[in-house]
Amino acid sequence: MDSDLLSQIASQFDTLPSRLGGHIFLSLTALFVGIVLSVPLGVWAAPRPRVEKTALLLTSVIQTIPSLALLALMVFAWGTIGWIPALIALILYSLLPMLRNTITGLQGIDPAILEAADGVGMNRWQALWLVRLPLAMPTMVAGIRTASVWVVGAATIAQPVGATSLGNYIFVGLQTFNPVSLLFGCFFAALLALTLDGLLHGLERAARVRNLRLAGIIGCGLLLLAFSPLILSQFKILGRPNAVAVPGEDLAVQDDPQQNVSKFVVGSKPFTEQYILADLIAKRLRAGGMEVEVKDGMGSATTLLALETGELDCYVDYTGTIWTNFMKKKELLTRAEILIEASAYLLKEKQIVCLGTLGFSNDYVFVMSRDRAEQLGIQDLYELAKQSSKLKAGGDIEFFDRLEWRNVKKVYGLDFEECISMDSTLMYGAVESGQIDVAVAYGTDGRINRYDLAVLDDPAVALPPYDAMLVVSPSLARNHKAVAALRPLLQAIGPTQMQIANGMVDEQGATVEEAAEYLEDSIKKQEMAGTTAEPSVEE
Amino acid sequence: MIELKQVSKSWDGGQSFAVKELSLKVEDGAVLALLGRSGCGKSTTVKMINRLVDPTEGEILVDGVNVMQQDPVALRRKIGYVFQGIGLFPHMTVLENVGIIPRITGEESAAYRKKADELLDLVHLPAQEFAARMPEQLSGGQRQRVGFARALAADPSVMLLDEPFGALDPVTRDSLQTEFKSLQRKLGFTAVMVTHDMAEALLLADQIAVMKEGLLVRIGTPAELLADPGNDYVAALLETPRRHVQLLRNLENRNA
Repeated sequence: MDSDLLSQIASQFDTLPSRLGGHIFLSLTALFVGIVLSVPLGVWAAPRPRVEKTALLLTSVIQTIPSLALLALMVFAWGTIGWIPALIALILYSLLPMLRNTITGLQGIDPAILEAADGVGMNRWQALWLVRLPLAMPTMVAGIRTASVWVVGAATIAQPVGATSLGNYIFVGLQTFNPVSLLFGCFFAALLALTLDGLLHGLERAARVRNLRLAGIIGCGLLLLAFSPLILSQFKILGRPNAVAVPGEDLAVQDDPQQNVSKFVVGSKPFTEQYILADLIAKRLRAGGMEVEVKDGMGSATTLLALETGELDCYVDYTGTIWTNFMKKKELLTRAEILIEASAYLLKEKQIVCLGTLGFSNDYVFVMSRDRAEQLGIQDLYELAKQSSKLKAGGDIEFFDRLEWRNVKKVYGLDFEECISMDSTLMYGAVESGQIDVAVAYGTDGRINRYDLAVLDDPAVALPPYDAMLVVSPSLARNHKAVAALRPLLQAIGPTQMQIANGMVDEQGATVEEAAEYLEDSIKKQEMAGTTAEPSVEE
Repeated sequence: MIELKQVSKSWDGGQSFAVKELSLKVEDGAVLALLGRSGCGKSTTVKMINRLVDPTEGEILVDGVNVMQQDPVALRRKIGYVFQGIGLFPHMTVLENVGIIPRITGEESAAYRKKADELLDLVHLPAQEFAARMPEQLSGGQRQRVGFARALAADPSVMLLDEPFGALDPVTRDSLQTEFKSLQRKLGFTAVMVTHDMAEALLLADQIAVMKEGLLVRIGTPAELLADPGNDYVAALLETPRRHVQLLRNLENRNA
């Protein structure tokens, strides 16, 4: 067990340089740009009460927006995901403490000193550089310190918009029930915040006692911190031997210099199944000799946008999501028709290529504990509707706001006593323990089996199908090697296999990588046996 | 030479005057004391000479040129200024404070360091000992010496002093006053000094201008004022040093 824990921790170190690097890059760049913006603004505003009021009001308003909402706003404002919206949000976030302290610092200078600066014949710039800024410096550095704590903290939640940071450990840990990953992320985020704060505290002291040498030492410390991910990446001893090294890689370089440079970004939405599939896809592409970056746990709406703008090259989406969320269709067609229409829509409207389906579908399904279902005599949604006024239902955060809920509610006449939105990971326990009677679960979730839940039939086909499909950017679609590497995935993962893989992570404490390896193995076995996966749920 | 012609200053658009229709002349190499109680307009007057304050009306000529026709920054660099409360820059060393004017006028670092060394010697602060100190590490008297050295850095022909000895203890004040007098004789600059201390004015000034509520009430040499105060206000101001002298004399006579 101990060596297991150690190997889990060691595996986290593999990704530390890039995530810590992303975090430091985001934080330090945001702070730097924040300083460059807020200091001149503060200098300009300090002697002008109206400008001061307006500037402070604006930055305070930005401050009151929850950081996650601000990040989301930036995604929409710039129509792109990745580090740009994250960086802009963090810069906006860092402005208030720095602006406020610049103004306070400048206004707090003894007027007699300012008169002395005028009196000896300094012009405005000289008075600013030689007298006002140096005297305001300790207060200004204190503001930078406050901002740094905020920014390092807020950078952890930059992950849903596709910026790599230490937040990846936290979000992945949260979604896949991996306390090691969660604590690992928290530990390094706290370590980074404390180190930066300590360095800036030293800088504040250096500014107060006007010790240039101390300031120099602190500057070196900051540089060292900025380059720490590079230094870390040199220590391979900490990590496992690099699993992505592929024997044929050197050959590929000589074979095809043009395709050798191809680097692809694989994305995932924030839940276990997506993490596993992204890892599987990444391994396949790497095995095909391509360079791969994984952006885990992006917001569900941002993945398609990212694919459209070329920031992502590949991820797994579901036909039902495209049908209801993007095509805004209210009516339901058959599984095959929806797949065809969704693929056509993606290609025509978004220039996104659908390589095909994986072989399973992750539909919304209504589940009850088996005892309760038998006791009430409920097998399908018609029977559920008859008794729904006495029952409590639970769904994930978005389900009760989704089009398909309105649809299914109307078709069957469902009218629950109460509809409770909760985190999807909590639903299964809640339905098992009887806190809720019905849960709207995900068809491939391993916990349906684990908790022995009864899946209710949907005889009127009111819920849209969520066939998993591999969607890729045009540049990946044009790359024969990449397509060849991914093709074996098509129709190769059945619902049972996906459920088992999900269950490994959610229930048995396996890592995402282990679950992906399980899928890879089962695909290889099928290849050898010359069969495809069991067909997905019948029409 | 400094000349003020019918100079007025109002802060409220002409309803009241801090200084009203003031005219006076300071010859080259002379020391003028502007004397009066707080708020009589003496500080405002001295600040108008180097344009820290611009006059509402009238003309001020320094060496024959109207100050309003000069760039204020260039003007101030030419005129030495010793501040009320000294006004040293707390974040600069003694050497940096003294060398600030050569530095902002773009002189070479080595040149202004040498100059600052000389000036510190001139005000009896050995550079070796004091150059690297911060203002907060100095006594009040030492700070004022640095203030003088800073004002002298531009080789000014004109010095303005705004209550330069006001914050010092009597012993230090006395020795600095004596040094100022000898320095002024040695360098020969023209000086305008604001003070509320009649004894100081009598000791240091060639001419004393007494102000009251923005108006000039009496101007003359110390001897002229002592001989004929001219009005009750000036007489009252002269009474204090006189009484002090009388008290000391009585004490000495009693002990003898």
